Amino acid sequence: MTLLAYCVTKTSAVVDAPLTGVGGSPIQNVEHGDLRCFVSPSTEDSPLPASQVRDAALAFHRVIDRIFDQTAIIPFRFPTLLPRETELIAYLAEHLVEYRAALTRLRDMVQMEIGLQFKGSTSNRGIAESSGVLGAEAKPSGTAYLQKIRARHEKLEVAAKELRQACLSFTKEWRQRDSSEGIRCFALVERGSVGRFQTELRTVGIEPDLDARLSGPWPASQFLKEE
Amino acid sequence: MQDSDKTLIEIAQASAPQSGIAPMQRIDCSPENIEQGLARLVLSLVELLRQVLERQAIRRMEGGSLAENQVEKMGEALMVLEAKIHELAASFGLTPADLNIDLGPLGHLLDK
Repeated sequence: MTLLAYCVTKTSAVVDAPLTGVGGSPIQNVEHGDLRCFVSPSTEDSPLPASQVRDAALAFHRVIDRIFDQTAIIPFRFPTLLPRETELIAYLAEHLVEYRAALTRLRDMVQMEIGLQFKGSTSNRGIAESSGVLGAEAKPSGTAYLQKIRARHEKLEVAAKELRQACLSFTKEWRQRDSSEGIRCFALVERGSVGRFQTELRTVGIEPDLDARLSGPWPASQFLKEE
Repeated sequence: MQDSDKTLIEIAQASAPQSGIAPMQRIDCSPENIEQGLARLVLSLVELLRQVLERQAIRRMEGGSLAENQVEKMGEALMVLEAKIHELAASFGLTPADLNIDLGPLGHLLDK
């Protein structure tokens, strides 16, 4: 029977899981060692039609959210389907040590995310336009194009540094990486400090041409592995 | 600083970026959409390479290992390539956001 996997917790965690998940299917547990995986049976063996994806994603998220409210979890991406329970057991066995360590280390932690990018642009197209290549009205400058990209990235880096400084006292760990749209910053925060973290970040002023979006709390997926 | 207004679908997907086994995201290769599906696949890979080359070009520019005319040529080539990718994507009815394929357990081809 195909299983839709939601998330992994430790068996020692006391969790009041929802009774049903995606498509109204019953939520079940599969355990291996001290890991517990929440799953529900699925009849889907092909991609969902677009019209049903939204409802399924919402139902999936509700399950994840409810469990995450109670304990640390390692979530699966939606939709992760396994043809048989034995495959799930094998997966849990393969990751037993890693997941056990992560769930112990992150048990009182959540992840906050800040997406930093320039307003109104998801690519360098604006840079190309201002460099003249698209309009073909002025001679395009390749050097100016690269310099502008570099300057933009430096501006994002400065903003990320300011945000990090602002919430330093509430952050256990900070990770960031470049993305196609800007920079993604991830802060590891104690559950009890989320409110103060949010309050502190809202006081940070950023350049008017930048957009900073705070989201969370999320499961601490970016911190599963220690650096 | 503002709170995210992501849709709940984005939230559900963002909540699970690390683990996973085999989700079911596929390029649409139905007869009526085969051209767009293949164009999306090919252009996504070209865009990935363009971004890698762009970062490498900036690193080399910062490192001072390129002559001025080399920087100019490289920048111009990358700029034209980006414009061309967008132009081709538009001709297949694709937006820049479409050139970021969901690779299932690995996340998206280009980090969002």
